[in-house]
Amino acid sequence: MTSDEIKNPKPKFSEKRSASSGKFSYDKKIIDETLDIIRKNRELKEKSINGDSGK
Amino acid sequence: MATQVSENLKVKVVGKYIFLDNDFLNALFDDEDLFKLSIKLFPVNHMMIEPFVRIEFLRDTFRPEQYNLKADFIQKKVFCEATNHQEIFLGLQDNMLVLSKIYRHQKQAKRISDKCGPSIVDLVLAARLVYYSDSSVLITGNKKDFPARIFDCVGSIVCEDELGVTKVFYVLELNIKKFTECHEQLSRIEI
Repeated sequence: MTSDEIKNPKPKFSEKRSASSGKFSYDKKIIDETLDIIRKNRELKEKSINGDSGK
Repeated sequence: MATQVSENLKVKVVGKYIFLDNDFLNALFDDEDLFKLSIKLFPVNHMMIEPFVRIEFLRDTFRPEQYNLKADFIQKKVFCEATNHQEIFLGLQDNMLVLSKIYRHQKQAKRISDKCGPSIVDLVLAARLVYYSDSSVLITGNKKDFPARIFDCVGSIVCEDELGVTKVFYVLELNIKKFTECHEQLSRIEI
């Protein structure tokens, strides 16, 4: 970067317009797997709360 | 969880990248109803994970079981990691600096004495909205760090949990005209 660029940055806009770096999918199997993770997280939280309740 | 979505939100975000703030990402991770709603609302869009948001989501979680669940969740292909090579990162850095100057200038103009600006992660997200100015929105529960002088709120998702606690998530986009005006005001005082 030049000294001027460092001292006076200008806003930058994407010319290519692609923000995505990978594959994206709403495949039912993937959605179901994601929902499964969410349920496991809920169970883990409940287990953690119940586990602390007696202390 | 009961949810209410603002009118025509689905139409307003068609074809846009949807950047998720950490608070909304956590809400998705905690609630399958909200996640299912999001899949219905944004069926052809990309739910984008900014790399710094990924770090924020995973940080401080030391229990392996919990950490692994979070890591598995965020790697699912319903989410897409935002492009992050050097060219983009340098552009984001410039946008972050420009935005931070605009924020401070606007606060001073309004005689707002708030010494704390937005976090680095919020600045990065704002910088992304500038970078992808006509093709992106952000979902966040904290819109005060994305000032209305620059960003427009195009919709909201209101969630109420079983205890009756309500949380609102806002869908924001850059208003290029407002941003340009603020930047020009700033440029007039710079040497």
